[in-house]
Amino acid sequence: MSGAEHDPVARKQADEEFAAKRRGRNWALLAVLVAMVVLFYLITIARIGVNT
Amino acid sequence: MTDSVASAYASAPASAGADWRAVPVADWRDYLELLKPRVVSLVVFTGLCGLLAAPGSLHPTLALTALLCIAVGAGAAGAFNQWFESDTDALMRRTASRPIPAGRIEPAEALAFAVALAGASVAIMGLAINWLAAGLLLGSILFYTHVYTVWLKRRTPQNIVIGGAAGAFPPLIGWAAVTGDVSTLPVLLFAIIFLWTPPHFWSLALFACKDYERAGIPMLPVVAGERVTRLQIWLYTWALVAASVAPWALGLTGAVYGLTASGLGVLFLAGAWRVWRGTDLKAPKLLFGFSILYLFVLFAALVADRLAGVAA
Repeated sequence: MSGAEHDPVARKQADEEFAAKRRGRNWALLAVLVAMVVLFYLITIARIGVNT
Repeated sequence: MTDSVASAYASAPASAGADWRAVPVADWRDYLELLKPRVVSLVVFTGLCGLLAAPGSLHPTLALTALLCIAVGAGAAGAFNQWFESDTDALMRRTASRPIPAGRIEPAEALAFAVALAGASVAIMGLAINWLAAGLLLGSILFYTHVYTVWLKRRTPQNIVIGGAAGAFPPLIGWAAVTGDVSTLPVLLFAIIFLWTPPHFWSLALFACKDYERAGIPMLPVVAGERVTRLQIWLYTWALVAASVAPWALGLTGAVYGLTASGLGVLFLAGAWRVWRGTDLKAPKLLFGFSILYLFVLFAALVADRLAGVAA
């Protein structure tokens, strides 16, 4: 037991750290999804160009 | 596999029951670390060289897609490896801070991440490039994860010899992405990386021997001793040098590659000789560092040779 869960300051810091990590992960996931949409679009354009 | 992770959870507050803070939250850097980015960079580089050395051309977008698939596939294999080895990783100083043994990523989450990336990389490679390249990518992932990681690594000191084949696939995949087939030169490139792997990893194993011993991984120095390992490094280096000059000797590359391969081969042999003699304690570490440079320069020379040939 660190006792951190009974210390309001430490608890607030832990909450903020948790939220920051989760926020960063969500932004990274969004970036990956957008990148995949762009990639599929570019692949389609390239394939159309190659086949015509 | 789960002992270290279990201990990480055991250190969580006993009252944590429904407390969401008891669940480890990794940030994006942990997922990146799971992909072994340094290994991926070498894989992407050799894949790029295979792609550039191949006769013919590929639309830049498709070439980048092929490289991305190689990178993601290699990263997926690395993530699977970290999932499977999290118990031994926790015992080794070099790997104890990885995301799974450190408790930042749950094992099941890492496995799902690895499988999703592997599936996506193979599917996109097949749909966007060709199915031969996708098949080779799938083969390399399965070889690394199942033949090397699951089957060989903990059973035989020859683990990295056979497992080295997994790392030798990328130039073959890059070549197949452009040409849709596999010929003599990419097979020789495969052989070069395959034969480069033993002296590279056994040099590392010589100076990280205690780590491997503690983790119970039967690396050659742990099982057969340093003397045998030094001799094997020396012998494999000869085979590597022979394979590296073979493309030139067979007329598949020009002088730029041939002279570079010869010069690098002499330097590699000199380093391996120092390791074999065993009088210089720093020799294995120096050879390990040089072996990475060797592969980069050799493959860069291959591309330079091809570009010089095209320009002429």
